Amino acid sequence: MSQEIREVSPTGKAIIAVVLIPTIAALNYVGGVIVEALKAPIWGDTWATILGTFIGGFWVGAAGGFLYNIIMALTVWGLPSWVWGFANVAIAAIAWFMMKMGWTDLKKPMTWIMMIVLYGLVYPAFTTAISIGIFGGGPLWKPLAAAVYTATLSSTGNFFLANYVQNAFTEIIDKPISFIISVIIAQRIPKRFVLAK
Amino acid sequence: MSVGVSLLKKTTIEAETFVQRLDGRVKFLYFLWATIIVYIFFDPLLNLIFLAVTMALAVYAKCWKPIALTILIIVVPWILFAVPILALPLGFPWNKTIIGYINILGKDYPVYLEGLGWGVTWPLRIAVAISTALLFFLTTNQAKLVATMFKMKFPFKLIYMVIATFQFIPLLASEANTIMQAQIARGLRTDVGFVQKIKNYLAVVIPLTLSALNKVQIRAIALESRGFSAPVKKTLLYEASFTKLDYAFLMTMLLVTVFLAWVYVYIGFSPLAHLPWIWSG
Repeated sequence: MSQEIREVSPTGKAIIAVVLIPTIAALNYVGGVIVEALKAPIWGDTWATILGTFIGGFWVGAAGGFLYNIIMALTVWGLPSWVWGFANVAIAAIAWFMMKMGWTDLKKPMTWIMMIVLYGLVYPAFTTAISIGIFGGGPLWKPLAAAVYTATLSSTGNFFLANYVQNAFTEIIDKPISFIISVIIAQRIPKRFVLAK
Repeated sequence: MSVGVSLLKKTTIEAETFVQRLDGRVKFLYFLWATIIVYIFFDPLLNLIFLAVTMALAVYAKCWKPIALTILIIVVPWILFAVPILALPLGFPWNKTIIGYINILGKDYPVYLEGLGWGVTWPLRIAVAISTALLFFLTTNQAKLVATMFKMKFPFKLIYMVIATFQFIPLLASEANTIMQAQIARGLRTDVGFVQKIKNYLAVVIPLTLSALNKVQIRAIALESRGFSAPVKKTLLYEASFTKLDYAFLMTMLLVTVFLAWVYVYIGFSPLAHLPWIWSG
């Protein structure tokens, strides 16, 4: 005799979301710390935003990512950095769009193509606008990225293009890897934690 | 990042100074005010004055070390990268005024004022923003922070989320450390190639995430059992209220604002360094 097993959650989804959002913010933060400890070649502080979107939906992921940036702006990065919160909202929006389009299966070539196009090429246009408007643009303080910036600037003389190429250079590796990490983790999460439909 | 962890583990530095006694709203306002002013002006010397005042307050409040360390790690390398790339003839489009020459490998290269000004002013703006933010954060304990946000009419759920993030970060950092030690004991190596480093990252973040999500439900039950979403008026452990000291600090900020408004109108946006105007400066 087969009997359907239903998992019962003792609390409402709204309160779970309220606790999930700071957890995502903290995971983003600790993700960055682990990257430093393992010397992994990524930023590693946005995968939890993508994971939060897979688990709790767009608003939970976006709010968790935004909160992470607010906390960092209020402590380590300085006030203007709060605007990077919108970059996390954009990351959550792309993740939600990819989830809705069914582009989360890593075996499908379309997932890889869209992941690189959206996170590696479209998203850097957004971060370039923020980095020039709020931080004045200029080279990052990572040697390789700064070298790419200098090479583009000296060969084209185009300040905006140099900033875009520098951003694309860093994001085209970091964000798709963050997306892949989130997909792999999301596959291992028990169904009872998934709020998103 | 490691600086950030040590900072967020520390949360607040308890001392009996007037900076700690100031109301959280006043310190938060100082943080906003100083950041906005250094963005309105385009003057590295003015930024240095704001930085010096904030550091003096930090020294008095016994919290200058983490602030100085953060600036040393974030702002100084930024200046060291930005100045040579922007001030030398490497394509910075607004370079016009030559202020001197630098000899590199037997050849003289011009140094431009516009690139130099940009490469110093922007990081110093961030330095002011970071130092004022940290001054607020390191001298306002969590009970006062909750009261401050409550008085500023932030929604209660948002207040919980902010405070909970500050609490979760050291907990998760400690758990990540335990997981990492366990994985290293099982042979996880850090001196490996690109793909293996990503796999190592997964080996730490998967158990960390599952453990964190397990605790989400426990925390949610604990909150509900304390009537978190009950439709009643919330009470606080600490009541925030202004004292004479707060009013004096606010008055000083008001007077400085009036003076700087006069400076901006009659002297200009770069009153001390006299930098030329460039786009988005």
